[in-house]
Amino acid sequence: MGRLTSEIGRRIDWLRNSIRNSPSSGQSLMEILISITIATIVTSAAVGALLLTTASNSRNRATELATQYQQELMNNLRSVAESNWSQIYNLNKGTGSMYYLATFQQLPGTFNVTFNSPTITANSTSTNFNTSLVAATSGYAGDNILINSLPFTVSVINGTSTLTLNTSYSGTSTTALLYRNFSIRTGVETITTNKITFSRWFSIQNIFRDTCGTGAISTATATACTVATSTGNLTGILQDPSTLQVTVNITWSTGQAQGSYVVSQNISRTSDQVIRFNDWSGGLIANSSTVFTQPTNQYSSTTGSIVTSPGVLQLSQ
Amino acid sequence: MSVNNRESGIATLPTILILSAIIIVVAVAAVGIAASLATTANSQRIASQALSDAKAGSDDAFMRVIRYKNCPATIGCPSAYTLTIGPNDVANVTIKGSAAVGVITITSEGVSLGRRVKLQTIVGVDSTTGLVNLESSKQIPD
Repeated sequence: MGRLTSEIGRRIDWLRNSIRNSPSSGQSLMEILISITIATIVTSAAVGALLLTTASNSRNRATELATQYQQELMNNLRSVAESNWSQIYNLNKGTGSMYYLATFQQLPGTFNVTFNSPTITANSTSTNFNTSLVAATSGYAGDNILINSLPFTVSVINGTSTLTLNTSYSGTSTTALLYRNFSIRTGVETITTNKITFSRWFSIQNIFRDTCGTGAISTATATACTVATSTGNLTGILQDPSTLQVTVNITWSTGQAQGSYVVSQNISRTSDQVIRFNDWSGGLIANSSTVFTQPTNQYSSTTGSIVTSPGVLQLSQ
Repeated sequence: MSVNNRESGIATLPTILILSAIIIVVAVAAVGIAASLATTANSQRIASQALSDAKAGSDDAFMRVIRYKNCPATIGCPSAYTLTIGPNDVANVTIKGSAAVGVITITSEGVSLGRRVKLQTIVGVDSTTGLVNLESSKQIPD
């Protein structure tokens, strides 16, 4: 034991002397200082790069989700336009009018409806009309709902389990199913996913076309429509009632950064219906100003141009 | 003896250099992956926009076919035209066929920031009543 202690002491002394007497003894300190400097610079740069990467990934995720939400809304709006054009066309135009779309949803449980009564009551306590439906206001007709496939709108929500329809139900059922149909509400929708809060809304604008509203899209000011007497060609820029520009806006906040996404698209009314009359056996009616509101086998006759306005097709004299 | 001292003294620097190199490689790789993901996300957004442009062009042509029974025609329903949707978005539309044949083919190429998506829509046209029906719509190679 004594020999071992003596040997360790001797080696420590030798190490001290070696360091003290070595010509490169100062080099170790310099190397340590240089190493610390390099390590600090590299680590700082690496941490900065990783923080940047994390923030970038967060932004990418938000952008991907925003793209999905934009596509979802645009596709749903196309569906609404295809099934019920007027539901979109009759909205207020301009970017200041913000809307969002409540999607199709079955409300849980069954419902009581009574013949000739506009009141509905829920059988299930899990139903909450206040959170799933929006009633009519001064600028809104109320959510569209389907009860046993019959369409209604919500006039008043009387509580979590009772509401009043816009019209009375024409039957009686204690097990009716209730669906919220696509409903365009005023305001902004909030969606929270992966700790990212998205705000989504859309607005619509009229579209104008040359050839009296039927040709190429034009951004010029609307003009009067004229018909060339010699060729019958139409000239003038008019609003096209079958095309709308829809602008979808999405903004998001991740807590650290904000972003926004605005996409505009044209939506057109593409449904086509034709009524063909081939029975005119009712003959000519004397009063040519008679208004037909349903198919008939009578007709009136006149010469001149066809004059149209929303909901009216008239033979002018 | 002095050789051993030098070797023990310079051990710190190479170690730090090697570790630094590893950290730099990892950091550069992470930044590269992040940049790649950003490009992918942006590319997905542009592709989605191009597809929407193509749909808008297809719908526009469909509506013209409804309005103009003799489509494609010089007035109102040209056989080829460009629909401007936004500052960076257009749809190049071509209309082929005729109501007499009973089938009209609409090809709409949506272009958004250089990204192109092409849709082909087949519509059936009743030559007597002018009734237009959608037969099919699909994305085709550009």
